Amino acid sequence: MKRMLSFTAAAAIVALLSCSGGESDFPEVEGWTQESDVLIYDVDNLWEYINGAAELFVEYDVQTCRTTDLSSGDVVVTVDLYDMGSPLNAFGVYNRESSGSGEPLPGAVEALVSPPYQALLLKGATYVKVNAIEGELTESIGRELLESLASALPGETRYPSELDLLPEAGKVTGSAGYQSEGFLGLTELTDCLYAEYSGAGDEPWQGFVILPASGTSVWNALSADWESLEHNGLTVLYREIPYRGLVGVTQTDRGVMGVSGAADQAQLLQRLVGFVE
Amino acid sequence: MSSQDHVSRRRFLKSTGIAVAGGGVLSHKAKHLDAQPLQRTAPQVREYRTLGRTGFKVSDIGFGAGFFNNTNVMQVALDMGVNYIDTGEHYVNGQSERAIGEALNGRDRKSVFLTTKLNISCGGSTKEQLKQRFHKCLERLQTDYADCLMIHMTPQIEQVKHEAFHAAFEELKAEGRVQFLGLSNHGRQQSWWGRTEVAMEDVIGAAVEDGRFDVALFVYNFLQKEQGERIIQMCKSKNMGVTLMKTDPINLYARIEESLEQSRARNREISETRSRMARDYESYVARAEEFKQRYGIQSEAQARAAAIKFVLSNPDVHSVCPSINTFDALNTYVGLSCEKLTDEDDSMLDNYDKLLGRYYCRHACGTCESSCTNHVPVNTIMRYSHYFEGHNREKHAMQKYANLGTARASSCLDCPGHCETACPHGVPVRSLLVHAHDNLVLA
Repeated sequence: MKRMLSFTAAAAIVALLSCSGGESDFPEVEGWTQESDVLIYDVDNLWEYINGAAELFVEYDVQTCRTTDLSSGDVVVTVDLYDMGSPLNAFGVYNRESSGSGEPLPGAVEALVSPPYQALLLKGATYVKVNAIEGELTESIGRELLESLASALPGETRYPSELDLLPEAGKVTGSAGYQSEGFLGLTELTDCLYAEYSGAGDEPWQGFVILPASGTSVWNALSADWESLEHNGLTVLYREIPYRGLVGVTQTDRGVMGVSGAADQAQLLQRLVGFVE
Repeated sequence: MSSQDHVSRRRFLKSTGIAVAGGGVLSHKAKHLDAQPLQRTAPQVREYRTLGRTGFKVSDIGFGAGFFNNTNVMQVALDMGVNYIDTGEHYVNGQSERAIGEALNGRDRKSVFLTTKLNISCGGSTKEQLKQRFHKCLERLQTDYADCLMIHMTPQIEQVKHEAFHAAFEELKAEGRVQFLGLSNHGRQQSWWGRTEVAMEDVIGAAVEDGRFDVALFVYNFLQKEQGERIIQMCKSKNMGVTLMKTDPINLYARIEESLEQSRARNREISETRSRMARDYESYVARAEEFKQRYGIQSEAQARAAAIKFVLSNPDVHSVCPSINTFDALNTYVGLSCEKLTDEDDSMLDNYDKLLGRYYCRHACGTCESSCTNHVPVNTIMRYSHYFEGHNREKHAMQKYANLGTARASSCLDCPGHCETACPHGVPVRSLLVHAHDNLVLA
């Protein structure tokens, strides 16, 4: 509400204080009126806007965040457009914040409306976050707003091509994600694409692939600290994660691939061999 | 395992120091069913402090969950004895609360002090909307109540008295959904009408004066301690709980010598002015080296440990809340529980301040900028320089500098240096800016 209450009175102050926004290159959204100046944040000052939540965006290499208020009828929303620099980074942070529960949306990769306050959108390298500050963001209003935003934003409408590195066999639909740092709580696991997998007679488990550009450095780091064993011609590095079980990786011509959540070495090797085949 | 398998024992679990005692490992699905004891080498919380008038004994090392999403890390933190958890509705868009809720599932809820926060600037801030949002927090946290509800960020003094928030809190408290009221503040904030300079102590001071707040979360560290110490004393006067963030602002610029060498290579024919400034900067390098050698510093983590011990040496600080999302970070911080600030630590931090504090352009300060006749954005350029040297993000820093859109530090070469006169900390601003410029532009 802060933005609306004293908007008129502050309009003159805006000009005088020369805030970090000013001239807008915010996309016009059909049916919605822009109610405030556009503020632009970057990795240096994003914390001033979203406090400790900025750490997640910094982890995913945020470039800018453009934000303004839009109104339609009695609904006023703040729209944040996060330029994450690449579709993969945008996907990663969107996936972390949406908990993988989004759905397809025309003109976008995916979207999630959570009435009455929030809606999320992924398109290309842009992650869009909408928060209602007045009125209720219903499912239909949220979806219409996201569709309008999607049509106004540039970028691909397919999932990042890097996700194709994850094997398809057994992959649980909609379970893929990307974590750039500290995957599974382990500092040494960086740049991980992951997904849930299910097989006959087995409970779901997680498989992951290290981005090729980081594969060698991650493998070398794991080689120094993890257990190793040889199995069917594969060198397997593994360790245990408290409360989760064993995690193991191996190198293939498709890169460093791994599985987690195994109860013992036999299960670890069974899953890993199946995963890399 | 087949006969082809050959296991070679390595430093198994070395990086976490945690292991499962006894036989089998629980399956992924069974992970919540049984607590797994920790190996004896795992650090444990060894000190609990009374969180002001809440009366709750909280671990001196708290758990900052700002970008947290790993349930297993939280489970181990709880096993280690961490019992102060700081989260917020907006942290990872609620995923932080969800991960905490999973970790708490099946544990003694009363053994943990759980703080969450609502930002009253977005998401609906009428009384009913705030209550509704808070109930969503509880759902995600899988609990019937939170110990403390904070106003998140609290950028304005007026928000300390936000009527709807207080009304919502009182009703939630009467319903048994929350026990204590708190607020957080980072100091200077950027709001929609521009930058505001409401000091942290003014906002927290207003909350202390208001009398309804039980717990505060704010910034305090050894390089910016005066304001923090005043706030701590204010909180103490009303027996408020004191929790902290941004407690270890250490950076030894590991790449600084390489950076300086590159700078020299780019400027073979240098002016006397630039030469003088380069000498000043070189003295910084020498001081950093002297500091590292004097205290046997191999990594910044050593100095960071002293910084944490410093804030905990204040008995009126109750819990520090570093951001934790990995087992490594958890081990490092919990290992500092009850660690006393030694004379050597004190000397190290004192010398860090004396030797290098002069070269630390204070975060979000900007005091000197109004004195600059060239309107150079000093703080901004210093940050870019920090990204270049401290974070190894050269390309990013150079791009930022190229797109600055204002006067750059090249204009500092022929300037008398009003900024240095204005700086209350004695920072050699011009020298640092010229060096930054050398780094941030192509030769």
